[in-house]
Amino acid sequence: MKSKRSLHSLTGRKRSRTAIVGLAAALSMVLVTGCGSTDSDTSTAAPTETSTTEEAQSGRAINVGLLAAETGPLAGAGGAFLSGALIGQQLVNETGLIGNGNTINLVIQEASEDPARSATVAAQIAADEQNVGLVCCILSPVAGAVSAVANRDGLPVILYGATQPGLAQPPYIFRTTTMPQFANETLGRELSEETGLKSVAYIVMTDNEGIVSQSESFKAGFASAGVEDLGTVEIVAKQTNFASAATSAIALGAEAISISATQAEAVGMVAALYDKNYDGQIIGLETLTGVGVFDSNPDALDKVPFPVYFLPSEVNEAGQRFVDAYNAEYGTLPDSFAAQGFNAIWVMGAALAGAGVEPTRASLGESLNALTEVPGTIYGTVKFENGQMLAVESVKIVSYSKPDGVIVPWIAP
Amino acid sequence: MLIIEQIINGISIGSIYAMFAVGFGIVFSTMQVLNLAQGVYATFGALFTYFALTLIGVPFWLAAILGVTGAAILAVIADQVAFEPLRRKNIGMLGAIIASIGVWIALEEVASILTDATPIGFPSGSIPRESISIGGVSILQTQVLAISLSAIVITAVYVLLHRSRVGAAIRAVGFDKSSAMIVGVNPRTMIVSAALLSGAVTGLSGILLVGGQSFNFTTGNVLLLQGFAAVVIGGYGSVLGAALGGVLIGVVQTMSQSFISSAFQDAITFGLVLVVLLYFPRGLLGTTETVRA
Repeated sequence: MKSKRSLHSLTGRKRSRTAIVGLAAALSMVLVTGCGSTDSDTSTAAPTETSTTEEAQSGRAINVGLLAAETGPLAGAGGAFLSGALIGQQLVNETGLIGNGNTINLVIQEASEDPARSATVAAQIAADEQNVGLVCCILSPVAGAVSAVANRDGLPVILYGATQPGLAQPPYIFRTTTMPQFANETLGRELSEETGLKSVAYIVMTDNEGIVSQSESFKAGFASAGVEDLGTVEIVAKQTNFASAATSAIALGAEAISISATQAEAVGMVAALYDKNYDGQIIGLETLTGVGVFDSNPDALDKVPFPVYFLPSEVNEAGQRFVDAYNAEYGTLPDSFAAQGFNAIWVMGAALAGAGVEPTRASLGESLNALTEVPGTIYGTVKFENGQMLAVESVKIVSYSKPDGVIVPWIAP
Repeated sequence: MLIIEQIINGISIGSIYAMFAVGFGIVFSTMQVLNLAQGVYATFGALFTYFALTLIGVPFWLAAILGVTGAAILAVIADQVAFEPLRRKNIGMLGAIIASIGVWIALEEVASILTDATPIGFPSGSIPRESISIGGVSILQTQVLAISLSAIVITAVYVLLHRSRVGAAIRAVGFDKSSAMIVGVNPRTMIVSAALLSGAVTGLSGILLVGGQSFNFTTGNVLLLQGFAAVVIGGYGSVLGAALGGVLIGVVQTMSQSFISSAFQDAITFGLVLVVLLYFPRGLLGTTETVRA
């Protein structure tokens, strides 16, 4: 048993130790906050003329996050989006689009187009205050997951691939996806007028809301040209039996069959209709574009029309600059996915140009909200309505051509 | 005519499910492993065939043999690397399932790299894709191939497992490894043989699945749920049961998709599984298990 004096001594030594530790902690806090205050004071203080000039001349790299999808089921398209975005970064910086000597620096994080993983990675990007914005999202569920994070953390996001209507939600969520709905409606109407089409049947992947909305736009286009709707055959993602769906669609007896599905399922349906000797007109979505698609089934895909907003052989000046830079870097022409990746970064650059000398999340958000049109894009002058980019001037009806699979303007048979 | 054609469509895809289910069932009954990587073997069967056609330029029948062989060897390698160490330590089914998930992810990533994650397809003209019309019913040559090959292969597997000494040894190891050892059966050799057979059959199912279609590095995964359901419906340890289950699922799925809605096809398939389990807990042709007191 310790003596009272010993206990007191122990307690006293304990109190002294505690005091010393507390004092050391307090001193550390003062030093840290002092340094922090110094930094923040520097960043928020009105810059002197000298520092402004210096900064204008040297500029700074503005970090913008990008969720890549180089792995996972969408790795093919994800690679194209990323390749286009990297060219976007290159050309934004080379042309000085942002101004004030500032450049864009993409902070690329792999997210595999998985909603849960994308939300986690988006949160990590948002946690770093150095990142003023984010570009992402090919799939609509992924866009939804990331949007929740962006709204919570006040991080402006540009969506570049997700097609489900209503995803653009200012003040933080904007979309540069060239919405396929408008293109599909245009194709339905113009193809019908050109060929004198009388009836159409639909094959629709019904477990994908974005695809369903695209099929609705096809229906609107055909209906506007007076084409009779003979019915819809439903398929699902991970469809295994394309022959069955093709049999059902052919049995409807339509002059044309419009296929609304994601890439693998769309190609499978086109091939099944071809194998079943369907002699009517097969029509597809923009999902038929992509590296390797034509080569996977050239006989079936030859001359199947689909709509695109970007065709490397028919581009404006900005588009030619993009095509040349892409070809120089990758040795191949960009597809429409790469074009969307590029355009997202270009629009981000245009928004950063209006976000001040030292863009922040708040100023970038304000700039994006204020955007009504952006001239000089690869799609021409594009407009913005409620955060959604509209590129109505640049819809083209195209098809693959044998033997090389080059995408060319579609010619009615 | 539409109904007949859809039944044929259902039997065709069901034959592919049946073949996959047989391969899946061999692993399950022999090694007590629920191998979630089985779908990737199907993908690699198609991949090896594709590379044989495009890189070597052999005829389709030879490319398919190479594809099947490649898938079989891959299955053996995966078994020896991932599952054999667990068997030596008597790690139970849960550990094996987790290991199979690892194998699945790793192999799928390899397939992604090999294909640049882009769709591919057997070269034009390499596989018969004509349509045959019989009494107004259109049947694809690829469907005839799928149905006939499945019947031949499943029959051959059944004969091998139930009418040969090797098959008896494989089944003995699956039943009781220790007892099999006592009577002179080398369990490891039989397990490797089972993996080889399973991989080969699964690889062939992948080749038939993608014949005439484009495919990618995840294509084989669509067979996994159907194959598992077929094994459950048909009965564990029964080759004929798995085959019957596969064909049944193929027909039910096709008819429900055609005449009800594709939105319900999976619900109907697995509803069927539940119904079968309610009345036939060991499957339609499942074997009874005798346990001595």
